[in-house]
Amino acid sequence: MKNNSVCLVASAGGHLNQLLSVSEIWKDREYFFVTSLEVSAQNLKKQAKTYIVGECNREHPIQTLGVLFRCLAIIIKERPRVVLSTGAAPGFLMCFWGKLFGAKVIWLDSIANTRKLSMSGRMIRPFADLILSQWPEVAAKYPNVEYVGEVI
Amino acid sequence: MIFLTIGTLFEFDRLVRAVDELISSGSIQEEVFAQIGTGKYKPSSMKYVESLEKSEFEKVIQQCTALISHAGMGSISMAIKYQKPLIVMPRLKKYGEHVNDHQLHTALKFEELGHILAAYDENELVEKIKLLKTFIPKSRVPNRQGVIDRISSYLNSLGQTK
Repeated sequence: MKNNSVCLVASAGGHLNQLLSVSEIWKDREYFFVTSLEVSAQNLKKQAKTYIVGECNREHPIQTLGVLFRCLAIIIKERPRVVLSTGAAPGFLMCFWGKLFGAKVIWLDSIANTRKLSMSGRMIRPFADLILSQWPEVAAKYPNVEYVGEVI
Repeated sequence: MIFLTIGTLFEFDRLVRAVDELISSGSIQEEVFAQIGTGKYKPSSMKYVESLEKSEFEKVIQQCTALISHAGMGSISMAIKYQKPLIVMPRLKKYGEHVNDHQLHTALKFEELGHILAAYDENELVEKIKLLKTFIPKSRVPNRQGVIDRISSYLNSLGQTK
């Protein structure tokens, strides 16, 4: 049985700020958080169940492997209906596993990416159900990427 | 108090060292408090911590008079939110400070829009610090509702997510 929850994923720092600035989206829905570091989790825990998966990127393959399996474990346990992420690499991994287990994937690319989609965004793009850039000129470069506004 | 922050990612000793040296040489007179991450360089001229919990981080931003940081959106968004003058120095891939050079593009874009000052290397910091006191960051009016509405309507189209 699949849950109806929305899985909200963002790394510590700017990714999380951007995600939380659209919190109106999930106020009447079932949701849980996935973030990268303890320092950003304290406030999240007060609102909903929060998983900490660690930080990772392509320069640290071993660390990335650990995050990869932690993300898989969360997806199997929670079976969210939707994964919504602002990045970075852990967001990609949650979207990847979520998609394999039947979740819809929404990717809001960080406003930091002013010229092209983030690396994670480019990897998610072929199988994202909704993908947004916060710059019109970036969205215009890809057939299925939309620009509908910005959160910062 | 000037708040120096390098974010939650890997080290950025190049910026920490540069600011520390500007204090000891007298180019920065004001007190500086730094969040330096896991770098090897330990400042001698300023108070510092390795990391700050999110709400403490926001508190320090509110208290400071100006900011110096990497070109990460966590710092840039906070500076915009609290209308604090900010100088960013982008992390560069060639020094192993990030996985790519997107911080350079972020800095160029937000500088062009008048929200921040940017120093593209250590040498440019001195000049930009002189401008920091008088710099008035341009305020920003994001169309957040557009993003909220688009994602909400997508979720509603799935049905049963409530």
